Amino acid sequence: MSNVIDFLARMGAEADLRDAGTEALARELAEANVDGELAAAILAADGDTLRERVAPGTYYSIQLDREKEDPEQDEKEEAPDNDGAEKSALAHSA
Amino acid sequence: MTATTAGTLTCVGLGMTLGSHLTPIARSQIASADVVFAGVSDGVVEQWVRRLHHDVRSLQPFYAEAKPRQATYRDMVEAMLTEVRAGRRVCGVFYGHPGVFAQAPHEAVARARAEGYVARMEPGISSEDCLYADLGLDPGRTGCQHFEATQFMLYRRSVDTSAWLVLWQVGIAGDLSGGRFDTEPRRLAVLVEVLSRHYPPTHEVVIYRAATLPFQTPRIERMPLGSVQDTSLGMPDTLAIPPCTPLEPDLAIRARLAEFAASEAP
Repeated sequence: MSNVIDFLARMGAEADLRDAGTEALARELAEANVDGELAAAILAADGDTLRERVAPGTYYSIQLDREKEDPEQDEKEEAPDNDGAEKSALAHSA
Repeated sequence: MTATTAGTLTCVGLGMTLGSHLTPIARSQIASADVVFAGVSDGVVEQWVRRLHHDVRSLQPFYAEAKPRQATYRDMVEAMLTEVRAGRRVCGVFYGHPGVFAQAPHEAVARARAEGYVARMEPGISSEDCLYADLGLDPGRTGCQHFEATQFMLYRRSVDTSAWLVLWQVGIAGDLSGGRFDTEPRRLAVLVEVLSRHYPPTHEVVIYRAATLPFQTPRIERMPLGSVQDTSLGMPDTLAIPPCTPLEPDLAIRARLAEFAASEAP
């Protein structure tokens, strides 16, 4: 399995390999002893099959949640006191 | 008595495409760490990280369907800081740029520093960088606004329709639970409704997804804004909206600047 990972790392870093045609790429895959089914997936640009074989399962890519809202701040903005208009303006310009 | 080695934390970016974007300093930080934590979006990419270090611990097990993402990110931070506190040199490896649309790396660095440890972040090539290259878009030409999709829906933002508008995490648009990892036509219809305050439904928009494997091509799918709700969107997808109005000249400012230029003329 490490063959295919090393091959992909080399493909990502080498311009000639990145831009190689199907025949040249097939030759390189054979020389690197990449498993036939994995090589076929690469030649077909089939990322799903490759993932299924190399690293099955769900991989989550969301790394940010929205900021928690501040209920107290919302209340202040909805019911401003004497200087509420000024505070609200400052909050919106921050 | 032996002095205790102070732990350190470095968060680095892998870039988006396996093998193509890893910077020399990020590679060196990974190689010289005692332990590496991997927060990447693709299992094949995670296998690559495992080839770069003997002790790589995936952050993926902290995710779970319906588990609040805030809890997931807290768990990630705690896992990294536990090793820092134990005196180890820790490297957090994240796909793209570790500080762009990524909560845990920022919080981990801030908390490590607050506890007195040396902590830093090394930038990486983000999806935004790839978008500029793949769409042939230069943000310097008309300007470019960026928002997180759900936040964009929840607040009345000032949209400049003479600039590009890019909405990130559109694949979870409209999630109020903080625990979903998908979206569906009902929520996307609301997003389209919000965007329709600013753009005609026929305005052409682009669904974009950077390539994560070197044999892939990016997803670049153009469609009218009104069709977005009927499109299948995944976690890595982004919605890019070109300008629909021309730049509006500010005549007063132009006149003032012209006076400066005239007074400086030889």
